[in-house]
Amino acid sequence: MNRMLRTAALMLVPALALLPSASASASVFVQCPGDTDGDAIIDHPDPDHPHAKCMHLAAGDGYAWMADGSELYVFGFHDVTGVPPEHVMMAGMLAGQVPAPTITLDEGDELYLTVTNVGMVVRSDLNDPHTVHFHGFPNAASVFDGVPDASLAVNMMSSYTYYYHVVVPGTFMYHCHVEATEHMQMGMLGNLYVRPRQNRLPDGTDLNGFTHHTGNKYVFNDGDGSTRYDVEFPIQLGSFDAYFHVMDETFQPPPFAALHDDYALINGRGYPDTVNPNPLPPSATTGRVSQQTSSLITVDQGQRLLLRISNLNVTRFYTVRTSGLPLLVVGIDAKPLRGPTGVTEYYTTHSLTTGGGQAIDAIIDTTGVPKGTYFLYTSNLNYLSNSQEDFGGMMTEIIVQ
Amino acid sequence: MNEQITRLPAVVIAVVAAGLLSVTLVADVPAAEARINGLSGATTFNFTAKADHLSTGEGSVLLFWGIANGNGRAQYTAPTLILNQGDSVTIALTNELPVATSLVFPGQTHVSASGGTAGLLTREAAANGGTVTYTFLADHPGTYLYHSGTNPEIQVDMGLVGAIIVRPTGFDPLNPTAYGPPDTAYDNEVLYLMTEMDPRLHALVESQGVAALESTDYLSNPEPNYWFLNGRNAPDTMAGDGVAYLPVQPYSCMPMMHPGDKLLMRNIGGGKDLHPFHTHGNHFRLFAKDGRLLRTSDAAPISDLATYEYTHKAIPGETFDFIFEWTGEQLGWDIYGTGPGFHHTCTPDASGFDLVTKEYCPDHGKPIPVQLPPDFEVAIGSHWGGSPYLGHTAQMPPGAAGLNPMGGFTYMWHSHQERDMVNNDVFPGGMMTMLMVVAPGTHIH
Amino acid sequence: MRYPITLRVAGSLLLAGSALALTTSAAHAADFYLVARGFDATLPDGAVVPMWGFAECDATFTSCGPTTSPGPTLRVPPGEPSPVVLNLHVRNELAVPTSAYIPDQLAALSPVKFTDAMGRARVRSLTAETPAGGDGLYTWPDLRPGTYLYHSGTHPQVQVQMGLLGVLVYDAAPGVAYPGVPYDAEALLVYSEIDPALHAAVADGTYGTPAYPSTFDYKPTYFLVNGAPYTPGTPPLSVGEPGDRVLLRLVNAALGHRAPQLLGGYLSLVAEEGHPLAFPGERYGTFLGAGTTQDAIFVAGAEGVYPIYDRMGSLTTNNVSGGGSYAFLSVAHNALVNVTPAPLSGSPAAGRPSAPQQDLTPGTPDPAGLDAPADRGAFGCGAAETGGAGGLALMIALALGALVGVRRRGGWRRS
Ligand SMILES: [Cu+2]
Ligand SMILES: [Cu+2]
Repeated sequence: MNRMLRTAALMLVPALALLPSASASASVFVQCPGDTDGDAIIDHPDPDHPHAKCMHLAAGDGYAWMADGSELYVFGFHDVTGVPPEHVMMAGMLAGQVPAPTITLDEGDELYLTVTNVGMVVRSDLNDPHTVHFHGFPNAASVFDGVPDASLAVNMMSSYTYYYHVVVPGTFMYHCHVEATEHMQMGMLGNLYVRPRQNRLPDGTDLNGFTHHTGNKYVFNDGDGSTRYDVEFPIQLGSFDAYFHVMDETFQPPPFAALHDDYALINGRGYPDTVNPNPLPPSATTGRVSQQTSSLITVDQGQRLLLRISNLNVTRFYTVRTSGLPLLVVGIDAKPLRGPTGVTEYYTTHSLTTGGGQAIDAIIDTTGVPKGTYFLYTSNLNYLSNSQEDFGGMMTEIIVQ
Repeated sequence: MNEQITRLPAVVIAVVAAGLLSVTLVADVPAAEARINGLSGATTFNFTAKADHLSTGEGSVLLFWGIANGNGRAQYTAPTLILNQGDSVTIALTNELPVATSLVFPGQTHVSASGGTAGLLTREAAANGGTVTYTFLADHPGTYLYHSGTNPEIQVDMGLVGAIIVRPTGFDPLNPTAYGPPDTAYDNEVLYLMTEMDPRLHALVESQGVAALESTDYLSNPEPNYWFLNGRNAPDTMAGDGVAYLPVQPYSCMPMMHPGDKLLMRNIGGGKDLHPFHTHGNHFRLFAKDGRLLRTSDAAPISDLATYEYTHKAIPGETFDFIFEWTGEQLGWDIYGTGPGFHHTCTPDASGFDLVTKEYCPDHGKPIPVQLPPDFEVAIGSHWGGSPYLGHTAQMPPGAAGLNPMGGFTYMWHSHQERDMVNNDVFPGGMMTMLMVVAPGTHIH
Repeated sequence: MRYPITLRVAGSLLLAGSALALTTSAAHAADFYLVARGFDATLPDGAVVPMWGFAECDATFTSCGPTTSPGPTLRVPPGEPSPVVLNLHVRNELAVPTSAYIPDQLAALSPVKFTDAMGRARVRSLTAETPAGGDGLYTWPDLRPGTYLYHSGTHPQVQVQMGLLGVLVYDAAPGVAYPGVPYDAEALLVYSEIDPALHAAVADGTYGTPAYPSTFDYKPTYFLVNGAPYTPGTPPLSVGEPGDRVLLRLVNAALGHRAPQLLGGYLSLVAEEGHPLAFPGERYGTFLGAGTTQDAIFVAGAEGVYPIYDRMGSLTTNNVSGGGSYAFLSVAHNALVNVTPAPLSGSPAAGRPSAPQQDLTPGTPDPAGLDAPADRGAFGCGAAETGGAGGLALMIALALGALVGVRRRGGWRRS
């Protein structure tokens, strides 16, 4: 760790009246073993940390498209891994992603996650700090848990590096926990999943009668191949209240008591933007692309499709369902659905009801499923809308080809 | 604070929580029952349903309808009944409310009602002085609730809901279990009775009476804006049991534990809304639902169908029991610190933990892998003790609240439907409390 | 005194005689004929709400039962070797396209999309549309046993709310809901809800305008069980005797969630969305998400009336307490079976004979003819069973079936 850099943020503030004034004393500071130049890329792996992974997130604001063509002001994280520290502020400002960049880890990793607070450019009056809460992290220590009341939250123009020794595979999520109702409603939420050690077994390993082959992927260290899948998709359920976002954008106090989400989303988009395989177009306000994550699901007939479903909305429970495809529920909250003595409690259903902070791993076996288009959608049917526009909302398509 | 007494010698004695300074001196105590506050030792209860006013977390006042034990004031939530398996329970209810009311006991299968008049769900006590008597046999251990059975969409929101705990046959306060089997053993227990209130409803009932609700859509489209744990909104959830400034909201909801302790959480969906209850710090083991163990058969020696969750879907009217544990296992650094001033030993047992400190010994001596930012680059939390290490504190700049003089690890436990974490328009509040994991030897009071 | 099994089989063959559409000789097909049409429903408080519903018809759509919401409970006769093919024939008498869709049964879909102003393709019907005034056929090639919701798959956020929904029941064997899950008696509880403002907007053409732009503004004020809000005085559902295994078929056709809570007993949850659960467990309440189904077994230890009501508070009728999602299960020795209140239905279609409340099959003493619904539906095994009479019996059965929410124990278990 002696090669870590502490680089002063030498931003040249452009002639944009939007930008907050820089604090001379604060700095962008990435801590990443083996990184020699502060960009969170490991240049020379540190033999003491062979499983280190580094990531650098900028926390700030931005804009996101709703599927009815309106744009909402958001708070968000932007992946600035690989960006030289002196460029991080510029790269991160007004670039908040919805959902937050997906973090994918392997069991056994050491994650050095640096968060730099690039400020809320539009809300120049707000000096809010930010955190990362690795939601569901087992045996968490409060110093890396991201609850501002219980630890430290990083101020504007400064960096905080979280350290996680990742030992439990499964589907997690992460989000900012500062002013949680506000910052989460505003969009600071992302997918996070951890692939199990079982993926890396030697070819031909016997798993209680199931033969592992190199390249096989599993949700958990199941010991029997029962959670094997071929393709996986993160499905993050969420929703936004446009009024809340507008109030935040226009310097009004956040209207908590009136919270009523009117855009129901999957991975930060409403239908039909959910099935756009590409990033959504750049923001009309900032020119920056902020919605990278499609939820169009394509699967070859016969494949096992893993849906990593997490719910990070802050106002209500949603039931989501498939059109006819059976969901084998193998995990809940990053734990295999098994009892303490190993009784397997997987079950089959077509619908899952979750509230904020819950995660479910479900596998769809497409063997024998006719090719064609199927749907994953909320059966709270009134939320199949993008605000006041029908045929939208919390829906995406599953193409069996 | 709950009267939770541990089996560990008391060392550190000061607890500060949520701005409430309570310093208690406790000598070394023998093991004693870790308990939830409530009415215990009785099987006959004389209850009165009556109106009163409660305080919300941001300082507003709401009319509520509650249950008074004997001639006392109504309380919210209703008195927690702590019974023993096999008790024959009699509850005589006198109704001083302006409307008929009643009580139902979901999960109790030998309920009978006498007196009063027939209602939809049970017999009711008439308005303004009517009486009714309920009896039931508490023949199963576990966690239950009771609430109004008269227009519950109104009266539960108005406050008529409470918890029932049935201790198992052979309950030993020194070695308590929730249900009897060994996997239901615990060191400390805490109640999470989750409810909500729609302030419009309470204001209208106060100003115009219940009938006025019919000209509103408050019942078909509720807008709760207060969310409660044990009848309190955060931050009051973290104040002690029976504090003077909450005269009708006696029940605290602030768990404390040591590494390796088993904390029993009795979670009850008391209101009308679903709530995703999230425990920071670790998963918990969900082993009972509606007062019944989750197991393959009644013959199974433990709850072999228990599952592990980090967020629980609390369902209106239903109860769930969890065990929560925390050790810091495999964090990858020494939670008690390294270097000068942090000397300690770690002698692993078969599973790798030190018998006394519950430290995970393979991580012993590993320094924390990152530097924390200097104070001026961070906002310091009120429950931050100044040190990343358990049981340690450090000097903090002026202005830091310093509500954690024991250097505990503090975890927010809350509804992850973050909308539930406000008191009307004020954040933070609502359905939120803090778990404090304190160093071994630190007395929990 | 109950049907011996032979009579029941005979009954189903009699009904099968009216089937016209049959599939290949290898597959066993169940055919139902549904017409979608509008009707005005009168709610207990006197409000009249324009609804859409399904009515069950004979194979030529010449005579139909009442149009209701929920629509007719479609009972596929149990006990045939798989695969059993389900054919739903839909005649659309609405002014808009519609469809029949079973979210929990697998079938290839032919979704219908349109291109929006931003050039994006978006689905308006999850499955093929039956055009206004047209006929459609929806086929499920391998029906799974269970309790299912069927509803319109076309603009479902509006059409389901307008009332195009119903229940499909297919038992694994007579008196056996799922393999290993026998039952003695059953009760069907279908939850639904109505936002009268939405219905009025759809009826007067202002839905989708600023007057009522979308379901974003949805606010239900009527909460229904088996097609009616609870009203005081409604008799309880008779579900058998103490010790009986009572199968509760819980179907949430509402857009909101429900949490049915039973007082005085426990339930074991035996299936969810038509999939048996390996570990039913014990609970007194359950959570029923929007659009989901569950099956639970309730065994009452004693005679009595057992309330099951929504713990999430949908207990009002047009904002008046004491209504909404209450139901009551009556357990009594030598119980006579009650008929649940009729679901919301309008005036009988012109020319349709009214349905007499009488025995379907000669010689059966079942006082309300309540065993009949098990045999409803045109069911054929191979081409040899086409043709024949039985249309009148079918029609009567259909009419009765629409009224029945509770069915007495299977006669095949006792004689
Ligand atoms: Cu934040
Ligand atoms: Cu979280």
